[in-house]
Amino acid sequence: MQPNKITGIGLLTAAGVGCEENYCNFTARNSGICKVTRFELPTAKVKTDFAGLIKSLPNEALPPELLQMLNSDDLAQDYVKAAVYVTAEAIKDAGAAEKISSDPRRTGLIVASSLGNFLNVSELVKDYFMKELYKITSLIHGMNSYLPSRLGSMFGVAGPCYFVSSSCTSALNAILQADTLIKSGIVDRMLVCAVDVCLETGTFHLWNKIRVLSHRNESPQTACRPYCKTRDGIVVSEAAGCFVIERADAVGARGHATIRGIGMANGASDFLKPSPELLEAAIREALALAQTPSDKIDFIAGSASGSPHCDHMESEAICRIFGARAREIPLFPYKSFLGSTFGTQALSEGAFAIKTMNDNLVPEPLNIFERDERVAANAYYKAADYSSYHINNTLFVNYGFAGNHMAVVLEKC
Amino acid sequence: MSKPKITREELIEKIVAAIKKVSGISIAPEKYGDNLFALGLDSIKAIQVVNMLEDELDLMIDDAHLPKFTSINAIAAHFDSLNK
Repeated sequence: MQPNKITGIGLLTAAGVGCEENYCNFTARNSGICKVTRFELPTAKVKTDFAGLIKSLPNEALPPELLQMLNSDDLAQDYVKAAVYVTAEAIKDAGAAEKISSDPRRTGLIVASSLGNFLNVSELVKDYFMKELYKITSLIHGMNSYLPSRLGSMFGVAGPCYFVSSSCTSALNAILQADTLIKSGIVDRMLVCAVDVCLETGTFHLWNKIRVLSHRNESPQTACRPYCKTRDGIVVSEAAGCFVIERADAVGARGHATIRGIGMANGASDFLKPSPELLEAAIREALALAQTPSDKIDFIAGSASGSPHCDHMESEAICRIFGARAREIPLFPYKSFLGSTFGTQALSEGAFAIKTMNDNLVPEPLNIFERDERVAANAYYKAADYSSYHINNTLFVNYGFAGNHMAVVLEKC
Repeated sequence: MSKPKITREELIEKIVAAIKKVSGISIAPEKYGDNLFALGLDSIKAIQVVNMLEDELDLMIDDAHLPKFTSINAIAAHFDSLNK
């Protein structure tokens, strides 16, 4: 069975609107992570006052034919607008619009999100309890099925259409399901859209109270420090992304990357702490399904977020699997640029990992100010040492809260 | 006006009560030195306990100290040092 290909990418993060702006700002190291001004902060009660917030999309950023399909409730929500924007960008990039319209049932759509339309739910509660407003649309928009249904109808998709959530691995879980649906012959292509636009006063206060955030208020852009001994927590960031995934035999040589194999291992004895054994199992499964020996992996996109537990267990798992090569393969965590983008990570970080692979451009390590002796994997390389390096296979690692551990092997097309 | 001081015994009472409230677990005095995770707490419940104590005692705890809070005695010792 032929592996499937990623043929279209759409991206929206705190760093930019659209793939190009994001890639340019990655090169310029301008992440957009900054002090929160979009909503009020209970400053006396929170220790962290910065995050990666997407900028509110002006209506004109959306294609006019899509804009006229959105009602006023949709336009009031960045969650919906962000999803529409990235899906349109990915379909355009893949040149898939005609193929979708020629046989709508052969295309499916999955929306992935860790927190879903959380902001709408909090508005609903405020409307109901504080203003005694009974808005039926608030209830409909709060349903996780709303966005896949809305996007499906807007983009003319009539195949499987649903919502997936598994914390930080939501997007990779959705990619796994999309890959499986195509391989099973149910559809020819899938749109996988991930969106987490979920920060406001209440949710940000709660993230502070979970006590996992960096407190480096004086330098937001250097606060997220995976593998750095001076790390002090994660940085939360909103994002949206979309991949178009198609049957390889239907797209020829075209495409951004081939999905070789996806591994998964679940189970959490502790909701907040990923397991080293399960992470190792997920990576080994991805490599086995990809039929890619570990010595063919050229680049590792790490999932480390800037907590000692995650940094150490990830490095240790990589060292056990790759042996001596763990000290040679460049290991780069895109969270050092983007922050932790909730359930969108495999699409938001994944887009950057694919760009890195296709450009053969190993990024300079970011936000590492002091080596951690417990990180033995190759996180402290010098990009100049890889100036004529070729990346044919990338291992993308992804785990988070709730006991989900995943990995995917991506191959250059 | 300075905050009223509380004794180590009162502090331990508050910690035990907070653990009981968030997890339903009653911890006997001979277990005050035992590892909280072995007694049935998980990360979320441990954070809830610290948040409750922070609010009740009107103190701010640096998150970097959280890994040290492995037992009731360890939590009490840290809060006690801030309370002095």
